[in-house]
Amino acid sequence: MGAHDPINDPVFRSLAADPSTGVVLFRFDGTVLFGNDQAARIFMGPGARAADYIGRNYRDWMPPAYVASRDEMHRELVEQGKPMLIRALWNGFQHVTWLQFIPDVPDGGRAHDPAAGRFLAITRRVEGNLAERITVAGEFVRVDSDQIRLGDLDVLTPRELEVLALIGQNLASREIASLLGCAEKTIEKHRESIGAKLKVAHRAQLADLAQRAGLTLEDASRARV
Amino acid sequence: MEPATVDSSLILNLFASDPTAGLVLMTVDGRITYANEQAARLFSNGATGAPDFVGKSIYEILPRDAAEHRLAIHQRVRETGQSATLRVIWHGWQQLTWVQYIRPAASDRARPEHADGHFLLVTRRVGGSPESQQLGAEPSTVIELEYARLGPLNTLSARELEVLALIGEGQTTPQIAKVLHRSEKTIEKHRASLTRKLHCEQRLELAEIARRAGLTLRDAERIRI
Repeated sequence: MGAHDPINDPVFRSLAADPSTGVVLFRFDGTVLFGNDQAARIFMGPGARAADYIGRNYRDWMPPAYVASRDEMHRELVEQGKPMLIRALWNGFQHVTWLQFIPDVPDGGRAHDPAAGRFLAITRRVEGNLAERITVAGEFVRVDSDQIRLGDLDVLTPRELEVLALIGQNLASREIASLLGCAEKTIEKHRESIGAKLKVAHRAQLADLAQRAGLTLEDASRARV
Repeated sequence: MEPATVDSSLILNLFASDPTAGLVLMTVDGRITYANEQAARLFSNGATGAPDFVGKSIYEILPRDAAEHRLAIHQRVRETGQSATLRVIWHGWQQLTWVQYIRPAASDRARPEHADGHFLLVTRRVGGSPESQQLGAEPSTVIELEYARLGPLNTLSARELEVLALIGEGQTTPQIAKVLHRSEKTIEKHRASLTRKLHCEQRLELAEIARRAGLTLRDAERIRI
């Protein structure tokens, strides 16, 4: 599989066994060289296994808009030479991916060919405010993925998503109304509708769903793929 | 070109640079041989960095009983060959630490402190339920540590912690009164006291604080260190 292959390294294997962490190693062209079951569940669905995607190219199953958006990120990462911390709302959960480029020569030497390098993506679920989980200032680029998969929240309209995002930030109906520029009564109606659609009775449970997704106002207008 | 050899330190760095996760390597007798900056900050709530942390023994950074409790869990992981997820409240946050034993590599035999292998510890701040983080085919056992560092919650009585845990679950005052076998009036008093001690105004803010800590009724009885 080429130079300094991490797959057989005991530390790599150990880290990839973490049940809360999806690990994928893939080529510039999108071919998956290694991945664990956890990543299969995140990106393909609850019943998926690593064997379902190792050796395949993610272009074959991911929507074209998603692939195009990722291609752009990958190019940018290689150009800037800095890792990326990508936040993506996927299947109703907020995920954060730590994405790094491993050049074909260990020191990232002059003659390297990006097409021969590989990407390592480490993905985890993160609830609530992502900034509170970052304890260090490092050399990396923060990216919000514009492609989202809302999961259970997909039944909501953009307006309802906005209201839910603000409920998740513990705002009262009055405050939500003033932020979104509409009547408190309208907000109450949205809230009832959200509750009915998601089959959730309490406000705290709604806040819970919003937190799980790390829902923001911007998410309401992102492309649902 | 000759393939370069696998370098564990390069691999480790690919994971250790992730700004959302603390990474520690610990010997079987509890000495920290490696820690990233994130791990040191999570442990000390930002007070110390990795240079002060590496080389320390677990007995220097935790009270004796807590250190022994922790090492006994590590030992069980080593003996059974089953990794485990440790759950603790630390500085007011719920932290999950995934523990795995790594056997010594051939090159480690020459270094006495590495000869028995290592524990690899991956720590993150996680709100909500630890189960929601599990993505593996076989969920890792979640072990709740007996001790806790409550941080801002340390001003609360055991009873107040119970009330806060139930508020975090979205329960109403009548429901909480029923669960704890107290009058609604008593619960209201506890709630007023929680609001005062934690400097918050709304029930939802209390819910948010409970959520960060992943607070459960059992946490009221933890040994506070």
